[in-house]
Amino acid sequence: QTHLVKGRILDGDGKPVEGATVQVKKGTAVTAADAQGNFKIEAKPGDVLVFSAVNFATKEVKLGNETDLAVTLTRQSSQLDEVVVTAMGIKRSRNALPYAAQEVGGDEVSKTRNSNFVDGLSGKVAGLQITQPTALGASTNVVLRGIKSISQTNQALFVVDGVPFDNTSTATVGQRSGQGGYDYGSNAADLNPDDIESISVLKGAAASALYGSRAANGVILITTKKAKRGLGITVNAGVNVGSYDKSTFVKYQHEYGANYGSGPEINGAYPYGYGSPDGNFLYAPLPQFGQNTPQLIVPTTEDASYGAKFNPNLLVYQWDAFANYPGNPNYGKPTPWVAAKNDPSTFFVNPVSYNTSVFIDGGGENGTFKLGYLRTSDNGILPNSNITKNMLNFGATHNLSKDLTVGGTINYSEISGLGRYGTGYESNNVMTNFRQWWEMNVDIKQQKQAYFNSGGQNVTWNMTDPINGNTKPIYWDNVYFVRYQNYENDSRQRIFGNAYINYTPSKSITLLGRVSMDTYNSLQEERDAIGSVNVPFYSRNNIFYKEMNYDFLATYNKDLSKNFNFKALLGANLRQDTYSSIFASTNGGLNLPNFYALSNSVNPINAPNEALLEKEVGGVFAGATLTYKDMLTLDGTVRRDQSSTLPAGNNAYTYPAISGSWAFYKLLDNAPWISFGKVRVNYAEVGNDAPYHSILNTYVINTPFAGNAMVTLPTTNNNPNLKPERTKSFETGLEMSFLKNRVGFDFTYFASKTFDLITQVNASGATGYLSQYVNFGSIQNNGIELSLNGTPIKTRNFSWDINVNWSKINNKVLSLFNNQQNQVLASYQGGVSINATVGQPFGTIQGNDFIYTNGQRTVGSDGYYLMDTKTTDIIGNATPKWTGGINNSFRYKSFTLSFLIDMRHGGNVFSLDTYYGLADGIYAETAGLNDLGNPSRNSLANGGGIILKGVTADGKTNTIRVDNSGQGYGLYGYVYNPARAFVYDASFVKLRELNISYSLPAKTIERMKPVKGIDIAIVGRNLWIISKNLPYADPEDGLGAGNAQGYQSGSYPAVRNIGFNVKFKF
Amino acid sequence: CQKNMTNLNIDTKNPSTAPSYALFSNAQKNLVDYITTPNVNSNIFTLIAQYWTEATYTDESNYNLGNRNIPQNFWNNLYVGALNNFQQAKLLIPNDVTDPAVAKNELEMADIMQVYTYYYLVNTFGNIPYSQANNINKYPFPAYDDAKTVYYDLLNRLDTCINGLNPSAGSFGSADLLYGGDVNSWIKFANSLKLKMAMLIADSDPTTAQKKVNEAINGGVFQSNADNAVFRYTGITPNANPVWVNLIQSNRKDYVITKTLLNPMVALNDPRRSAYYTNQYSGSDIGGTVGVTNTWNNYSNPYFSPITGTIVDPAAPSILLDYAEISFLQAEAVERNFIAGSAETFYNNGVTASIEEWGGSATDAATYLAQPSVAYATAPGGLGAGAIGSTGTNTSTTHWKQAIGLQQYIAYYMRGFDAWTSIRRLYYPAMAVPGSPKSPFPWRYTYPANEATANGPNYQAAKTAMGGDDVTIKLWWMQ
Repeated sequence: QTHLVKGRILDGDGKPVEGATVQVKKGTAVTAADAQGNFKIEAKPGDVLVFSAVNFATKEVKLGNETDLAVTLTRQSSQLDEVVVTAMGIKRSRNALPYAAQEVGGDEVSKTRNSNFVDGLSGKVAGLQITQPTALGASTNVVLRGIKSISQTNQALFVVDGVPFDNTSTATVGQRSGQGGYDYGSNAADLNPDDIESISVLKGAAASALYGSRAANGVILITTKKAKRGLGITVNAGVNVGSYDKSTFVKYQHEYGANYGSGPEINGAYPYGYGSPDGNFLYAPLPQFGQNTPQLIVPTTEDASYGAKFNPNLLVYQWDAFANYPGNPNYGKPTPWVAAKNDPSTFFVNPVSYNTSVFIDGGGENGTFKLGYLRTSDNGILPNSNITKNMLNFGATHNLSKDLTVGGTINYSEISGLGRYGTGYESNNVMTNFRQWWEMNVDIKQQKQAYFNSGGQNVTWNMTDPINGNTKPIYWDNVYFVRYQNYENDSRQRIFGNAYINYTPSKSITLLGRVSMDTYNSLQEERDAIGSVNVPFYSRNNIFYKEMNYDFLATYNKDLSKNFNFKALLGANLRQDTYSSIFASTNGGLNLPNFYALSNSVNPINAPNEALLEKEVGGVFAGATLTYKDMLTLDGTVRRDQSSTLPAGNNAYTYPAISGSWAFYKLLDNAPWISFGKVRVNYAEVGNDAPYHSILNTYVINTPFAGNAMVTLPTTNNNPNLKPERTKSFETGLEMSFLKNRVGFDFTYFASKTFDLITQVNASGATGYLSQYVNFGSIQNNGIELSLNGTPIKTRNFSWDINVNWSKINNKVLSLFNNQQNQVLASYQGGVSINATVGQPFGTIQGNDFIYTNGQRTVGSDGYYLMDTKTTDIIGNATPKWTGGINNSFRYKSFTLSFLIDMRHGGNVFSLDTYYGLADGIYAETAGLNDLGNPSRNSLANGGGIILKGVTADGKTNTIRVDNSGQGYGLYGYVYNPARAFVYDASFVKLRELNISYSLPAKTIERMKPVKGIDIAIVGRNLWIISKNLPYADPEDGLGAGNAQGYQSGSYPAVRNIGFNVKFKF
Repeated sequence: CQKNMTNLNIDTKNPSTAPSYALFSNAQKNLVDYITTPNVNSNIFTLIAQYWTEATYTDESNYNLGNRNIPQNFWNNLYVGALNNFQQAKLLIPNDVTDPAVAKNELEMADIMQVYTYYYLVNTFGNIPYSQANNINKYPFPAYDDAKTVYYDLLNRLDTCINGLNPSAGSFGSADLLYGGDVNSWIKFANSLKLKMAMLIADSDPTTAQKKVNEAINGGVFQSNADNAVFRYTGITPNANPVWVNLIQSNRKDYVITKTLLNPMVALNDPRRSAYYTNQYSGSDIGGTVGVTNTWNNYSNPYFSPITGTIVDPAAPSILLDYAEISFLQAEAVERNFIAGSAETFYNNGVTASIEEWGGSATDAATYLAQPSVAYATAPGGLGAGAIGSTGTNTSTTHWKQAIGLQQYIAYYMRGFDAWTSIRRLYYPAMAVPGSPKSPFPWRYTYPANEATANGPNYQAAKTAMGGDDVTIKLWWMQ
């Protein structure tokens, strides 16, 4: 005989657990706790009640005769939780979830105290590829289940409490193609990690179709914390120290100094050299220093290290001999020719970063509120770099009546960047210097002294013509001048919030109306100071973004009979986007030093660049779910969108999704060791619209010429006949857990095909355009995802949890425009390009290759490698073969130790750093001894030279020794090797996170009222790259977020972070 | 909201309509920028013609065209930046110019600019898209036309233009950045271009060449430097001379003068030396060796010039066509018996015009010409045997080819494309073999890499028709 059992579900802090599921084990009754944690369920004595909730360990209680229960759930971060937040914020029991969704608890991303919580997802979700660049505050690439679109974004959609949260990168095309500029980071990082309750990753289209077009790339669904009854205060304070990872930086040679080689020796002389007897030094009198006979002078213009062998007995005039700054002991003097005591690795600093947060929540009969504040101040490993974030969030609900609730949240964030790292091939990227063009005789500390002692002057080692008094830089500025004078600064003020009204006219109907806004103003200011190698300038880019969403959602939930439950929803959404920007720059230089305003332009400034991009998408959607005995679920949704970016008449598209699941374990009474088992299958389509302004052509107005108007056609031909892009996807999965959930797995196979891709394709320039918009071709992704979790040991005092995520994606480009076999996505310096190639995974790296004989590199009759002249050989692919993560967590009493190992296998990266740097002779392998035991840089006559590994055209092993004295650039670099030589395997195994935390025992805490808890933690991030195949750099680094990955130029070293954090709960 | 939804596609910050004259002005400027710039990423003709060689980074001096996609950038610049905008201007003129006589003049001028632009393309690549070019909606994959057919069509178009220009009607006015809309100047310019184009086929089709040369001269070609087609930069970016932008404003020191240019100028005591280059450090004229590392401050280089108005001035003019070359071409026409007259006079006019154009005086020119090594009758046939690219081939032994060829070469300074074409026509002066050449001397550019993928079948057909896509393939008019 069943009776009504009621009760309350609380967490360890005595606060209600909203939405916790209560069900009768092996029965049909199921219910959820309300906001106050209260529940009611029909059960009979002897039944086992199962209590479950997101982020809490499942608890079973055997019912006696009691009718009022108080249940306490213990928090845990398990990957296989019982209730999952799905699209539109609907919570579903795990039994009735017909598609892949993986949950990550909020504490998982906040515990490492990384100000960008997105990075904290790495390795924790199967199928989610997170790529973190090494530069401070740079943008994170977030791709779920592979690349689906060729030229449109593939970034997953972020949704916070049901509202899309913009993650657009504001990087310029130039920055993303390696030409320089700054990476202004991921906008998704504008969220307070401490406010995140849970993250639900909806991987496939079926799960996310209700979010419309943007959901084709999957959704990262973020649920922020809900306030609970009672008052809670959490205070966090942390500090962390960073240091650069030596394995990701250059190993230099310290034997030879400046020059590109002395040129060939002819009759004992070096006629192509610099004039000194050995050809490595300039040779001229220096009357300004009282020297009237020729002196040895370092060729300061030569940004390479294939010069004279260091010899402390040799006195030469180096750059500092010509730099007349206070406190320079070497002015006018020759100094010993030795390797610099401080090579560029001494440029890095050990930054100290801080974070502080306060989170307050509370609630009573009629409402709840939460208030959070977070401040982080992150410093980088380069001098004068800092990103400060201030985030304030407030949320409240109020019950107007029993069936009417209003609520809202507002988040304000302010991000200020100073001295973000220059990227790409540019003088403001100091890594271009350190990795590609450097003289090993130049001492960094001395450059630092020169900069500061001269009062901030650009005293560079790379002087144009010091003999004749021209000490201005020829190619490279003093690196300290770069950091302290040519810095950028930026700020972004963002407001994100929503207001809603929730009306429950009957038990089974809920109506929700919501208005939400995501808007920011951003200012990006860049400059090159007077004295720079570049034309001095100041530029500002003012960006305004606003996304408004108006949502209406009606849900219906009714038990049709004892066994059948029916849920339905009907919704409408109107989305309005506005992006506007004004970019202005000075023209022809700056007048006054140290003054950065447009008014300081030498010439009148050109008209600023204005952009106004607007978009409107209207969508209606409906869904229905039929559940039988909480075991069989059938789910269908359909959505129709109409987007303004498509041509009228072709701008509406409808897409369906259908899914089903069967929680078969319910039938397996005779196998008690099976705690859970479910199969699921689904199919979905999603449509996508076109980029802004891709339909109609407009002209471009240029700067007038002597009063005459100047107008040109654009270089991209827009297309008034575009139609929507489509993705069709299929997914099936099996989830099981055993032995009271001690061990479990979730296996998914998925396949998707995207077609009618809207892409800007290259056109023959002879058409008058460089590119045109078309619908074409298709890309296929299929793969498997596997999550394993287990608790090998579980005792009262000790437990060990392990969690493994692994996914493999087979991506393949099926067809391209007009039967082309290849589409160039980006062309880079170094003669390489990233491409979509038919039959290959997306992101083939093309360039020239070696010529092979019997699989071995062929060497010509001169002893050098033969190289293909075509630059279209496929020499790599940026897409990894698989990615995975292993998370281990050990708990002993109040101590917890956890660590995450993050892995990526396969995928390639091209390094422009070694392409040039090996040619310039700065890397260790370009010097040293050869197989004969002689310095390899000796002339061939003196036993130097190298025998390149390879075979001659007739297949015999090469025996010809070739010169390595830097003639016509070094043997190892780009001149004597094809691009293929600089393509590396980008696999890695990283110790991504390490946490040791200690929570003060409850007994101790009890004596410390009002304190409810104190947690102390030592957190480490990116501590150790356990394995990698890319020398001298972090294989994960790239040019920031975007579709063209697999290229490094001026890469920054990885940063290890160790922090200390204390959390107080009141 | 659905009614006006489509309106969001109207870009309110960029105009949907434009006046034809503004397109014409901008196309003129684009064209001049592209043929003037010495930017190593887009125009390396000053290196190929061996006026300059690179100091440290020597790839392009060694004929490496691929590293920086030079053919593609040059091709795209001319088709997209110049031709397409001239084409669009031509489409708009009949609608936005009310006076039909004015519209007619403007159409002819735009057409002359297109002929001028195609002269570069067809003589750089050989077969090129022409009849299907610049019409993307009809021909998204333009087929290539035979180079010779294109060339004769260009000559015919030029005739039509010359006949169509009407001096009694107006035209663009100040929007014409070459002649301020002066129709008579345009007639001279078109006839001079016709003369130049006719002389290109003097070897392959002397009959047509002779006919066209005489027609052009009768129609009226340049008579002095005052007639020159000059583009006058304002000196303020982005309207500054690209040579200044790349050499002076950039602060880089990438180029030195080659021995190929410097040695004959030194031997001939050329008065233009001080305008062409400065002697660094060593104080004396020292030419760099092509294609090897040349320490910038050890060699004469183009970075400083005491003469204002010359290349390192932000407001330096750029020359599209000048009296000097028209004079040299006429000297050649006399030697080829195409026209009557004194080759020596035309030669002297050419040398004098060039010296004056570069800031010298008539006296300077007279002194220069008085030297036996310069005087037309006595100028030596060879300052070193003529050879191009590799020793022993294509040596020009004809005296006038050498004498005119050398002076034409010196006079074409900073007009690398014209110098390259002159060398490919007269085989003089000799080009040095670079230090580590990637290929023999290029007779043409390879097609842009992008053509193979974006216009594949047509590219393949063109490659077959050309007999390959190598730089060693000679164009149809070459001997």
